[in-house]
Amino acid sequence: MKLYEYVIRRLTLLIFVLVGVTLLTFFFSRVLLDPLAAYVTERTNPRMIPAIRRMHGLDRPIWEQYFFYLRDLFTLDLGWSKVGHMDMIDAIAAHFPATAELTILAIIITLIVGIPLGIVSALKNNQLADHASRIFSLIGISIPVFWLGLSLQYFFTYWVKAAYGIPALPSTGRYDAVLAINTGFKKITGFILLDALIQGNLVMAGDALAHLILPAITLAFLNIGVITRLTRSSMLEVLRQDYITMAKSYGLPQRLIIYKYALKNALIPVVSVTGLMFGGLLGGAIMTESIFAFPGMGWLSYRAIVYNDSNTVLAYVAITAIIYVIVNLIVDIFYAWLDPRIKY
Amino acid sequence: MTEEDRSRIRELKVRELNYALYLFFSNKLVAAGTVIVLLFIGLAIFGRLVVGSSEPYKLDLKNAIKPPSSEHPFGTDDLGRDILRLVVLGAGYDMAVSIFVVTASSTIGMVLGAVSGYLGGKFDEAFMRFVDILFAFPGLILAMAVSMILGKSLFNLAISLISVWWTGYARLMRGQVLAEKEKLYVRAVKSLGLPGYRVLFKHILPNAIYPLLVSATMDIGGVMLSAAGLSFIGLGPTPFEPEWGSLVNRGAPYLFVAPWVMFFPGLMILLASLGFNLVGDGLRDILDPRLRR
Repeated sequence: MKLYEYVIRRLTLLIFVLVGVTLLTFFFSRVLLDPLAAYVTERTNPRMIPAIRRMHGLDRPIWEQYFFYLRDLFTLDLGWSKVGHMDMIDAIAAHFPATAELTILAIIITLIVGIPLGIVSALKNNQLADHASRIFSLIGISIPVFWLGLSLQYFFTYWVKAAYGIPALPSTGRYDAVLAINTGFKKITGFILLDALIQGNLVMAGDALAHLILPAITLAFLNIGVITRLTRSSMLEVLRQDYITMAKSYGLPQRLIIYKYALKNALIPVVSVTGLMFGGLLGGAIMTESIFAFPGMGWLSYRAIVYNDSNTVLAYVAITAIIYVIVNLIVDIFYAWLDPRIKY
Repeated sequence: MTEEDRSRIRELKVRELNYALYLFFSNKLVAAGTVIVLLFIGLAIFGRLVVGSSEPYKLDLKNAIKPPSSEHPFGTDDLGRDILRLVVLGAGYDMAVSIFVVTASSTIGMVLGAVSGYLGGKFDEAFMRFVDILFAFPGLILAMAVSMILGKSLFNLAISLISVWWTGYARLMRGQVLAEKEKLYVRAVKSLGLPGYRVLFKHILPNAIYPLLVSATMDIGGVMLSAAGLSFIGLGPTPFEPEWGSLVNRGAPYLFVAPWVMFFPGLMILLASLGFNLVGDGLRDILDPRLRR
């Protein structure tokens, strides 16, 4: 099968999966729950309810409602978000840049720490460094995110200052609003760090970075272990292969063999897993964002859960699933392109 | 098969088991993991006998948010409750939920995956597409939605995790059965005219189940984290059930005043899931012959 045939087959499958995903979220939001809840408060006149129902097409047969639901998804008209106090799509658009910014930084930290640790672990197989990195990554996959986040918050926003007088990191939010006004900061793209850099506002960029760093470390910590273990096992696998033995027999320097010949092939699975991680994180890290009051998608859905706003939760679930499916597809295609040995 | 063959097979089995056990316990990390897991199971079963399970929510506002002392080794929370006691009582909830979720979802996944793989054809195709759809959701988010719909309680939390977790086992089991059902011994028992369910559950399953058991063991730690996480964001138990995740949540507002309120329950989650993960990690090494060296 050629690559383009594979892409076409995956795209067909994608349509199928998307129909399934929307059917499921539709079933959740319209059959198991009453979507009317989003438009009714305790001050709504009961006599108005049939009219409201009619207005949103909720009196139609259920299959008709599904097509309306699909149309609404396509036209990005997802109804009203109670916790966001605005149209759902506006709420999501307002919260998405924060999540994207956080995700990108977390992935960068994960790779910068995880890959070198994995390489060292593979080269010193079963020695002290290997055991240490193994314990480290096991702790990484065993630590509760919310607890890690709270502990980091305690130490870096309170304890360092109280005990040593070191300037503390901010504990919540994306940026300092007073600072933003004083330095004349304007939002352009919604990516605070990027906006500040575009405007040449270094003070603001530093502030945005200071707000990002703790949540990003929290998110990265979990994934570092995964990347380290994966790099290690894939590196060990590659180092066992004939072409490496041959390179050694030619007398090539160790560094060259490892970093030029072995690493490239060893990183192929890492690329794929990183892509999946990225897709998963783009949906927002509910716990991390809620701890740091970091106004991303995860924070939005966290508040929706707390305030029983099922409309927002389900819109969020539908949107994240769609993002996740599409990112997975891109990762798979990229993977097939990257590694010609793979048969699809 | 003669009696001699049988005893030879038995002997080989025992030798393999002994070797596996030897590998298992010669690994220090695994041994440590086993000890931790046993301690926590003991804590979950007998802990409440020691601290007494009556009135876990009795208030003592005079002693609210007291730091750790000899009287309250882990301090007290905002209602004056002893944290050590809450943590001990919480062990039962967390261990029970994670073990229940893993057992139930691996059983469901095993049966559905095995049947689907064995039957093949249209049913298999339809079933796997359904699993694909569930896989399209980032795991915790689907669980969150289900849990939200069912209503906030510890039992519903477990149900929502099961509804997400079984798919992985179903895929695994289906693959195993697909590989196994073409083998000679399966054709042999089929030719004897055994009904399909007996071929599948009595002959194929015992040969195909090991990867699922390993995977289930390795998942307990992860399930515990997920359950605690969902319960931390408020989808879990009532305030009257001292589950660890919800205890951390209770401590969060007092973070800068009384960090111990959130610290100790979280530490327990870390230790317990670390114990399970250590055992799972070692188990994988032992059962993967390529890593045996």
